[in-house]
Amino acid sequence: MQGTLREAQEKLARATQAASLAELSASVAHEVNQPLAAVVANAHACQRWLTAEPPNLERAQKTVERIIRDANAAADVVSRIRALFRQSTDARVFAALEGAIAEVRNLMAEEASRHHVQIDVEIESDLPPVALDRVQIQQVLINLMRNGMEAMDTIADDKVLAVRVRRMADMIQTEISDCGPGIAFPDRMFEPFYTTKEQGMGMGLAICRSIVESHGGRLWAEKNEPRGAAFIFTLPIEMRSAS
Amino acid sequence: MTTDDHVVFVVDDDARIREALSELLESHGIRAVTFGSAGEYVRADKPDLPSSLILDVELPDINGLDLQKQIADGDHPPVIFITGHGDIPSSVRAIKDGAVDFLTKPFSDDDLMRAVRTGLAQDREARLERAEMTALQERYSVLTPRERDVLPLVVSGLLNKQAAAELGISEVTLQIHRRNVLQKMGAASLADLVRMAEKLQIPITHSRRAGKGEP
Repeated sequence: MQGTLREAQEKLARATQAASLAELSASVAHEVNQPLAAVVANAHACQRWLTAEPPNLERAQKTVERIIRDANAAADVVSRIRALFRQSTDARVFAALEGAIAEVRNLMAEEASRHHVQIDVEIESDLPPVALDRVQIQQVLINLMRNGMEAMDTIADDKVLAVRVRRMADMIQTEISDCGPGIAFPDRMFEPFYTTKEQGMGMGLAICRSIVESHGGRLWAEKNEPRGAAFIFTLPIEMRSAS
Repeated sequence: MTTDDHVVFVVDDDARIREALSELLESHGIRAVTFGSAGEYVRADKPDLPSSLILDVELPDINGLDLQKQIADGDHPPVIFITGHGDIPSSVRAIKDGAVDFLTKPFSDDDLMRAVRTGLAQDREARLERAEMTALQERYSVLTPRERDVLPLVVSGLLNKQAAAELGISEVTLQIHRRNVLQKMGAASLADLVRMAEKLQIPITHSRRAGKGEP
């Protein structure tokens, strides 16, 4: 069991670094679903041992032990996800957002050319560093940029994805805008399991929002002018102490 | 507690699932033999009993659906697929290729056991069929060349006289051959023999309506 836990953890760690949030959420669902399936099957078996004539208490006891073990494994997965997105302030460092964005831009360059999308980055000069978990914030960026590119798959030309970073009072505001068809349900799209993609799980934006909020910022969507959607998130310039 | 006249094979890479399924099957009095990968299953010495195969779609070494294709040529037990995320194209493909059912984890006791019992019944039927076929072929193999000439003529419904003329022998001789054929094949009646000939796919070259046919 230690083995499978560690394996799951490694998979999760790999997924967080490399894969998109959609893949991550699918892998989370799998990690939870496997022990759940075992719990359900063991519970049915237990019921049969108890209702047998005469009841087989020894086997019933054994299956209950497995039920407890596997249900705990499912709960462990959930708490690891929580830790991943809410409490992991350890990994935060003061850094310029510019560097994180430059890396993401490089990562996404190939995907952008595949979608025939031009990425325009505009970053205000002399921005103060912010406290951020680089991997998490880069995931937010990747997810929002990928959504923007995919949104423009339906339009023929002038596919421009704009990334603008500027200071607004005590926040650094990052705006990622596309010229796709825009958003139908700007409120609902941040809800978990809401998706317009055939292959999507509807976890991407929900997780993005949770990451940004754990950094003390906000994430929302607006209409882009003249067309498309804009996703905007803020990060506080001064790290607020976690409550 | 479990009976030994059938067995269910479980192939899943997750030890917890293997354990839980074999427990569940045993609580229904069914013996389970589990494997962690497709390779293990294929290589294993498996008991020669009526069986069903519960197969995870997402295996480490090969996709379960591809394994189904691979073993399709041999005499393999009916397959019940289990999967973490069932999509429609995979389930359609599995069922088209003859799977008994395609269940999404977690599945209910009822659904699984219904599929397992259906699979076992199908395999029992298939085994009977194969055994009967083997027996028929053995009996057919002891017929003399002449008797093998007589068989298709008799089952195509020719009168003794017509069949005898066809082979250029006397009606009495034909009757003797005919009796031997029925006896060696273990056929209780002509209708029984016709059914056997059909099973053995013996071509019927003559029909009664065509009369004597070409010499």
